Amino acid sequence: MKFMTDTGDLLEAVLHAQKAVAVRTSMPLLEGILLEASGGQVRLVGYDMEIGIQSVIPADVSESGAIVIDARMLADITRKLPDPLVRFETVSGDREIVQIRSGRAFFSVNYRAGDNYPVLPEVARENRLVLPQRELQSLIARTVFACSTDDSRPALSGCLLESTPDQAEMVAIDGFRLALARHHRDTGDEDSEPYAVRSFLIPGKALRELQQILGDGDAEMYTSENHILFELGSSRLVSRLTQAEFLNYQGIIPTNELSLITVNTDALRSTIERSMLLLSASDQTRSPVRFRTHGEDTLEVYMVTSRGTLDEQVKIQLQGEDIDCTFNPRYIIEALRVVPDERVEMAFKGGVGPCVLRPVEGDAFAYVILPLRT
Amino acid sequence: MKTGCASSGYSVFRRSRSRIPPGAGVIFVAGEYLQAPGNIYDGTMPDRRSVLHVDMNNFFASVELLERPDLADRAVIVGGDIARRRGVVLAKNDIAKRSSVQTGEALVDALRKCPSAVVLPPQRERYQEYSERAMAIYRRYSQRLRSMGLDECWIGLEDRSLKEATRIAHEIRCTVRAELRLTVSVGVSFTLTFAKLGSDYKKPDAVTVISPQNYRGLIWPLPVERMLFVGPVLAERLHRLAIHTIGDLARTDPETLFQLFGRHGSDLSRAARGEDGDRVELESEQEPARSIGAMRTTPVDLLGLDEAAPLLRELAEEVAGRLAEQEQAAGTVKLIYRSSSFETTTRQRSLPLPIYSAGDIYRAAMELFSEQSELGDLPLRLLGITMSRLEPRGVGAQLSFADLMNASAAERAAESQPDSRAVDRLIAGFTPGLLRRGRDLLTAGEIVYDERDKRGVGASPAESGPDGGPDP
Repeated sequence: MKFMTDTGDLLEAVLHAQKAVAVRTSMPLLEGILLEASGGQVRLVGYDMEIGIQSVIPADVSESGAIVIDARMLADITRKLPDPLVRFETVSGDREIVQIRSGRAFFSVNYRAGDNYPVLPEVARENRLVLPQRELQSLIARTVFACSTDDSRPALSGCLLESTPDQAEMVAIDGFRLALARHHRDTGDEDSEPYAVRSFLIPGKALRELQQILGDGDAEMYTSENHILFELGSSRLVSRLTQAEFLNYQGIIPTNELSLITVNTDALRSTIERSMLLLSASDQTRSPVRFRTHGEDTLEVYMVTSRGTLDEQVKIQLQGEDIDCTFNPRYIIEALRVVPDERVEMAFKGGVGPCVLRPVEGDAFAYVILPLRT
Repeated sequence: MKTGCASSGYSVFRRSRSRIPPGAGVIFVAGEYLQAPGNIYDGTMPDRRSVLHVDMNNFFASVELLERPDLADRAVIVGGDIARRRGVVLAKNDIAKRSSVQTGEALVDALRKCPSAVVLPPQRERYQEYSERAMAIYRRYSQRLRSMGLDECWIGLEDRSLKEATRIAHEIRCTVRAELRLTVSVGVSFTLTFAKLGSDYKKPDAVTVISPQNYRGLIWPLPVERMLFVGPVLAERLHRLAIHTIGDLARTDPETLFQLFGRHGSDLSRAARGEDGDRVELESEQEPARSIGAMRTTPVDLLGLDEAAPLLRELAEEVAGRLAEQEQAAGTVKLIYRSSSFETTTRQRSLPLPIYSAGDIYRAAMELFSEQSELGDLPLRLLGITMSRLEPRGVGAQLSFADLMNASAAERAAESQPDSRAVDRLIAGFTPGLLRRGRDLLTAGEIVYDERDKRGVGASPAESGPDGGPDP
C-alpha cells in the first residue's frame, strides 16, 4: 500500500474514526484504525462492533491496500506531523512495517493486515430521512444528556428521533426525567423539502459520537432492520438501532399544571450551580435542592449537604399554587444548561408531581423532571 | 363530638398510656367496689407533682372584645357569617350566655333568644396569636405543656406541692390578665382530669384547687358527663347502669367497667378516682400526633362538589400548615362529612405517595369526595379532612416514571378491591397496633378530640354517627 495525502484531512479523518474505536476489547484488531487505499482515496474506519465511523479523504494512491494501525498512536503521530503532506508506504519483509513520511520526519511503525478487519454493516439506501446537520446536532445536544447510561435498559439508553413533514423531535427518558427537543423546518425556505415521516430509536452512545462529527450540510439517514446509517458528506456513522419499545412519552408530559413560574434562565442556572458547589462526591445522589415559593415573585432555592447550606432567593413570576418540592439538582441544571432562551417557564403539579421546563413561547423543548419522594 | 360546633377542630390520636387494672370483683353494684379493703385511694402522692389546667374564658369572644371595648356591655356572639343567615355560634360572652345562647347553635336561634346580640365574624389568626402569647406565659413556669385547642392548656409542675402550684396558678391568672387583658380560670390538682374539672368549677378569673382531701366533696357530686371523654351516648349508657355522678363512676368496680367499655372504661374509672397517673410530658418529648385533621361546620348546608370545594380547600390549607409545623408528610387521607340529618360518614384512602402540600391534600380530598356518589345530592353541615400514616419528610428517594405509573396502577387496583379488605391488608402490613381502623380507635377509647369540642368522641362512638358501618 502506498499513498500520499493532506495531513490536515488525514487528522480530521483519524479523529473521527477514532471515536468508534473499541477501548478494551478481546480483538486487538479493533483497537486500530483501518486505512484502505484505492482509486484516488483513502477510507479510514473505526468500529467497535456497535458503532462504526468511516471517513474518506482524497489521496494520491500509487498502490492499493488495507492496513490497521493502532488508533491512539496514529492520532498522536498525525497530530505532530511537521509537513502539510504525508506519505504512507508499507514495506515488504518479515515484519509488517509501514513508513510514514512528512517533511523530514520518518516513522516506521507496526501495522496489522487489514484483510480481517470486520466489514461495516450494509445499510440499503432505504427509509431515508434528511435533516440539516446543525439541527440534528442541536437536537442531540439538547436531549442526549437525559439518556440512561445503563445499557441493561435499552429503551432508556437511547433517544427517539421522530420526524413529520414540518418538524423533527428528539426525546430521551432515563426513568426519572424526560428531555424533548423540537425543530421546525424552515418552511419559508424554498430549498427545504418536507421531512419524511420516520421514527428511530438510536443508542445514546452513537448520538454522543455523532454529535462530535456533525458539521454543515445535510445529514442523510437510512435504516435497515437493525442498523441506522448517517451519511455526512465524507464521513458516515453506522450504529445498531435499539430494538425496544420507547415509552409513550406524550403521556408523560403533564399539561394541566397547578403552578407556573417564569424565571430568568441565567439567574436560575447560576443559583443551581452555586447550590451544587456544596455537593461532595458522596452527596451527589442524596442532596436535593428545594424549591419553595414565597408570594408571587420569590422562589427560594435551598440546598443542604454535609458540607453546608445555600439559601438563595430568585425573582420569579408565579401563577397558581405555591410550590414546595425537592429535586436532584443535576437534573435541573442539565436542562437549564441547554435552554437557549432568556426566560423559561417551569410548570409544577404538586409536591410529588412532575415539573416541566418549557419555553415561554413556542414548543422547542420540554424537560420533565420528577421530584424526590417526600 | 358535641353536635355541630366542630369549627376548626382537629383530632389528636394518642396512644393510651394506661394498662388494664388487675381487677378482682366481677359483679358490680355501685358503691361496692370501694368497700373492699385496699381499693380506696388514700390521697397520698407518690411524689410531689401538680397539674394546672388553664381555661381562657370565652376565649374568642374575649379576644374580640379587646378590639371592641364599645361592646363590653352588650351580648356578643362570635359566629359564622351573619350575611349567610345560617351561621353557627362559635363563642359568646357572658351577657349572651345569660340569654342561654349556646355554642354550636344556629345563629338565627341564638338571635331569637338574644335579639340584641352583636355578631362578629371569627378571626382565627388573632385567636392563634393570643393563644401563643398565653402559652409563652405558661412556659415561664414549666416546659411541660399540653394544649387542647387554642384556649385550654395543661401545665405539668413536677416537684411542686399543691400549695406551690396554687401560688403559680394565681400568678398565671394575674399575668395573663395584666399582659393579655384576658381572664382565665385555673384548676389545680394532682391529676389531669381533676385539674380540668377544677378549671371548669369556677369561672371567670378564678383558681380552684382539687386536692386529695376535697375531691370527693367537689368532684364526685358532679354529673358524670362533665368528665372529659364522656359523651352523651356513653353518659346515657352509664345512667342506665345507675352511674350518674363522677362519684358513682369511682365507686364502680373497674373490672366491670373494663368489661363493659373496654380500656376506656378502666381509664375513666381510674380518672374518677384520681388515680390516672398521667403526667404532662415535656413539650420536647411529646409524642407526635398520629393524625392531623381539621373539620368545620358549615354556616350553610353545602350541596355537591362545587359548593364543598372552597371549604375543602380551607381545610387542606389548615392541615398542610400543621403538617408543615411538624415537617411531616401523610400517607392516608380521610374525608369526614356529616349530612344535614346528622349522619356522619368517613371515607379514607391510602395514597400512593405521602403528601404534605395543601394542593395535594386538597386534590386527594376532592377525589375522595367526588367518588362518593351519595354526595351529589346530600346536603352537608360538616366537612373534615384528616391525614394519617404520618412520617417525617426527610430526604426522599428520586421518583421515577415507573413509580408514577405503578402508583396510578396501584390506585386503580385498590379501587377495584372492596374497601375493607384493602384496609385489612394495609393494617396487616404494619407493626401491630400502629394502624387500626378508625372505629376500633373509637371503641378502644383512644383520645380523639376536637379543638372546639372539649368532649372526646372516643367515648361516644354513636355520636360520630353511623360511621361505624362504612368506616374506615
